[in-house]
Amino acid sequence: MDEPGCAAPGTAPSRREPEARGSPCGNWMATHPKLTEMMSLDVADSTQVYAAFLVYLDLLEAKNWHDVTCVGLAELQLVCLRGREREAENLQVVVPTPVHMSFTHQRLREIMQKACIPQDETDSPLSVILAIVESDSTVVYYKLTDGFIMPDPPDDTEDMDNKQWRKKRRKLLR
Amino acid sequence: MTHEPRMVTRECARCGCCSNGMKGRGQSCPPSRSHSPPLLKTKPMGIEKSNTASCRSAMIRIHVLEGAALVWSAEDAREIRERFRLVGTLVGALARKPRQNARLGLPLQLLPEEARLLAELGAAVLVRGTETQPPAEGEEPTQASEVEAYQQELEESYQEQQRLAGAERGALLARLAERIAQGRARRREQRGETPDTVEDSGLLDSPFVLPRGSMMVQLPTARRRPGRVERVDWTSPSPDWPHAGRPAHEARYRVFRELWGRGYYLSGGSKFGGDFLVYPGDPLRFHAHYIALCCPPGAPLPLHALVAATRLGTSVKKTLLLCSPGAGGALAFTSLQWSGLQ
Repeated sequence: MDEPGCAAPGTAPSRREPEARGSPCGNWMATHPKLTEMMSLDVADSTQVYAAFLVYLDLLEAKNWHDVTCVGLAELQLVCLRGREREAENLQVVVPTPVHMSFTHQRLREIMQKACIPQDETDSPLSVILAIVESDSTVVYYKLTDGFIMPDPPDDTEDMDNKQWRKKRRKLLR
Repeated sequence: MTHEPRMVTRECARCGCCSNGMKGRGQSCPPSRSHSPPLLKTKPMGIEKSNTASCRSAMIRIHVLEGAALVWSAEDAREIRERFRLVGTLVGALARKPRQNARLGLPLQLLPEEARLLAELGAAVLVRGTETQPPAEGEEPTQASEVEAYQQELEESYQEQQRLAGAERGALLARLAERIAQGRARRREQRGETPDTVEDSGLLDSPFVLPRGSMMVQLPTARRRPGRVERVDWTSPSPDWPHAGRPAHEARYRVFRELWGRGYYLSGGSKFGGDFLVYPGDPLRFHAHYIALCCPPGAPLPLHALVAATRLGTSVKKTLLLCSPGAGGALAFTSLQWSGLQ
């Protein structure tokens, strides 16, 4: 990645001055064991690996997911992540991608078919979470599902005031 | 080309879709949006009523003009919605309320996909107006005789109205004759005059004349005779129907046909940045569930566009549906939603 301000993974720390980045530890990302693990899978290019690493950090640190592991998919040339949103829930697949990568609908379906974990209940449709990483490290998550998934029904106007009720209702309908 | 007998339809000025002649009968349309179209239609001569309720001897006429498909007949518009589950959009001005667009009237504009579906099912024929050609010798009546016929009709209507108004007035006066006499007698007492019975019945004898300015006139909002048209072949492109053969149109039509075949109602999706809006039932009763986006095979989807479309869908409570031809000729559908991760 040639964008200024982004750490190029794999760059030796001695090339940059640690003080210029304002952090005493220097380029800590480059030596992070998870990043090196992802790089060693050797399935994808550095931009996708970097995006996967950022999503990994976001899921664990910001979203508090459990049991997050990385998986290399050679035929798709992607590094995916698997984890649980909460302790007792099923594993979900997260597909990180930098924003400038473009997909066709066909490729999205290919990713869904190959990356998805076959669930215990065979009738639940294939679904992955697409994690899109911007150049400023913002991540947005969108859920892709095969088939027709009805949207959430509109909230009852009385319930709008009660935030707790809205949260409960959303969990119930998930 | 079949020769169609004279058909006279009268538009309701309020909603543009009734063909009950509302003028002069003291009725008005209910204001609700779900007002159902035509109640009455003057029966054309020569078309026998068939035994099966749904059988119509005439095909739906879809007038095409530079790629737009328009339906001018109120009965056809109703059948398209009720029998074929196709919605369309009303795009015409209402005769009595022209300077607003909250309520629009005929014609009904159909999506190119809707028009093609009707043509494929054999229920409709695409036609094009040919008024630019000069009429053949002796076929059409000249303008002068048409004017004469119209004046004649006006005169007959006036005489009828005068007769009816006179009769009604007479009946009213007869009903109130006693009260009128009492009132007159009371007034004369007050003025101190002697009662004079000769003048009492004077009012009833004077001949009643309806002023010409008070006469009611019908303003037809439909043609008294269908114009000359010729068929348009929907399978080959032409200036008025350019969609045939275009890859974008073919792709959209495949998706449209598949979704329609599954029982959904479909309408245009341009208000939400998509190709179609997919409803579980009639759009008058339901909100759309999906925004369908047709992706031709191999066309790249930029991620920022995908994010924008999905985010819009989430905020209006609709699921984004990506549709494209998949493996084995069937269509593949993928739903996109916000993941809900806080």
